[in-house]
Amino acid sequence: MQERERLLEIEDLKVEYITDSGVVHAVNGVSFGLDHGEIIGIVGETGAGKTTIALSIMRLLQTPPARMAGGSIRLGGTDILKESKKNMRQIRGKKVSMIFQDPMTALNPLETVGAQVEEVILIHEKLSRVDARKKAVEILEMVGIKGERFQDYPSQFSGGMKQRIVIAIALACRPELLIADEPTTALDVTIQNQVLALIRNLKNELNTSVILITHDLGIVAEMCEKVAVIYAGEIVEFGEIAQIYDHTLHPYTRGLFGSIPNINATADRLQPIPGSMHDPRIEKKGCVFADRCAIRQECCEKEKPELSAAGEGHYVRCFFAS
Amino acid sequence: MLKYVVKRILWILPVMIGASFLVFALLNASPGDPARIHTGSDATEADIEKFRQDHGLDKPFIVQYCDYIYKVFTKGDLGNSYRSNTPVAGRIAQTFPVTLKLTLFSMVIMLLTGIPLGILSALRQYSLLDGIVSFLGMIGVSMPNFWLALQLILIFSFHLGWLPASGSQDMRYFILPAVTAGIAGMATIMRTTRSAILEVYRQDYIKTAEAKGQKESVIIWRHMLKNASLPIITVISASFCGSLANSTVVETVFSMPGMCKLLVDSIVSLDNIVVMGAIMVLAVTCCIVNLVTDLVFAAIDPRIKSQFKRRQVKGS
Ligand SMILES: Nc1ncnc2c1ncn2[C@@H]1O[C@H](COP(=O)(O)OP(=O)(O)O)[C@@H](O)[C@H]1O
Ligand SMILES: [Mg+2]
Repeated sequence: MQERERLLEIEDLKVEYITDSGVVHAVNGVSFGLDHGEIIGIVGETGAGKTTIALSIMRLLQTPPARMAGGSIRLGGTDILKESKKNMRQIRGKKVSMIFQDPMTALNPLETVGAQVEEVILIHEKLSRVDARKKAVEILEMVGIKGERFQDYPSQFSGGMKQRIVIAIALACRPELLIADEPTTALDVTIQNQVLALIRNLKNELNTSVILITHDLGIVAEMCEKVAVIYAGEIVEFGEIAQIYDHTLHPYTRGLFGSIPNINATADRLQPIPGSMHDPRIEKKGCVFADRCAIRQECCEKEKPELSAAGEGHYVRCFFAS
Repeated sequence: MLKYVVKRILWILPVMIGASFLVFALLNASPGDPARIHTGSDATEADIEKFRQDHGLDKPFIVQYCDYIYKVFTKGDLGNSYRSNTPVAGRIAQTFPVTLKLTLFSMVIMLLTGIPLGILSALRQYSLLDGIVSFLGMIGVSMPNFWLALQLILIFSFHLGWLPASGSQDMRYFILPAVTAGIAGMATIMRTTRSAILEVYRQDYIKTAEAKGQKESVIIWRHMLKNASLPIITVISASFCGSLANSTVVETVFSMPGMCKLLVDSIVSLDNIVVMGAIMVLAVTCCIVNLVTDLVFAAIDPRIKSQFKRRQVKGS
């Protein structure tokens, strides 16, 4: 594979939410990067901090309650966290786009879907209304929505079609980076596959880099080149798909695999990881996963393991991973 | 769409029949004999009987009601006042404009203050401004109308002498009454606007618009206000009818020759036929306001329109 240029570099990102009941440490020192045209998966259970990372890249976190507690996010040459509001508006929708989890609520119910696609084009491209409309129709057809439905309202579309429209909006200005935050979680299984296939095809066609956020390792296996497994705001394992799948190192990642229903397995029950994530309001001294870990030792409670290399491009945060 | 409009207009009829029957029955059942009162203390039994015959009061209740409805629909005749023997329709035509003017004026005050303050306090949630506005809103809804009216009269008429305390000769006479009627409604509209905006603010489509790189001002006007307008419009139409009802107090305190004052006076003097007429006019006005509200809703919200279209397709 040819060398690809670096597009995104996140370093030691820390995000907190200040709430009445304490400071939620949602993201604690996350670092990863992404090349042009690359597709990377972020996996973790609900509350792990996935959406917070995504919104940080878009600079769409509401501050307060959110607070950027440290780190940097570089996109191309620019430092996202230091950009002015005005510059950020030019980056959003043009260089980075985001798809939100629930397509049912992601579209304005009072505007035609055409107008909503047109909106993003008119913001970023100096086109006349007529040309913008032409382009919006093109984009809609690209995601499989007939041009004649331009004047229809979101309520006239099914969930899967709405998600296609949301994707059309996100890709209308051919962004370099697409962040898809659980784009299929709210959809039926059959529709899920269609939407994922659409994202994959468009990614190849437009050479867009993608960050695919999900809690489903199965989806990641189908779609991504690399995976970051995230737990309680920390990356616990990072590597290429083959590494993560064939040489699973972190006990949490193993647990995630355990919770994928396996057709060949004799057991007919899922094996969820026992216990639940620790309270993100309390800063933990040792390993964040220790409470739920099957192979924990005394040192795990006392000292925090570093994210360390376990192979070429394969990193794991565990003392006993092997 | 036209079919929907016609259907909504036709719906007013059964509503009005139901309302008129209820009011007619209540007036009929209320204590006191209008015939005895309005013929005076030295009237003979014959005088009283003649009064009853003149006004149709000798007939059974249900016949009286049917007569009334028949005359209203065929001749627009609302009967003659028991007290002055003048046509009720004429009295209402004289007084209703005053009430309508007062209500519209107070609506303008409500909207021009309530909506901007509601928006501001929602956009600056938990700020000092938000706190002050919320506090004033609470005072606004909990302050009794008549008391507020008296305070305004004391300050602006007696002490400062800026504005007249009673009458309706020109616009200046409407200021204090309209402010009185407007303040309670303003608080309601402000609170609804604030919570509607906050509700819309959390919606994903606002995030989508932000993710497009849209400007904040455009997001507010294009995406937030239009969506928030639906609950606000509902409250505006309720406030209009509330204002009409409030006019009974306001017109009485400020001695304005409006229809609501006429209504109150007629209730006191057992001039039931005038009471009936005035209440009917109020009811029709509220029906019309609700009709307009529904039509505005249908125009703004495509979900209502498409719902209707679908039904039409199924029906045909
Ligand atoms: N607006 C907010 N206010 C307070 N806490 C929040 C807010 N949003 C998210 N959190 C907390 O931050 C943590 C990470 O949340 P999130 O990024 O949404 O996780 P995920 O997307 O992986 O489910 C969770 O503990 C969540 O409760
Ligand atoms: Mg999430």
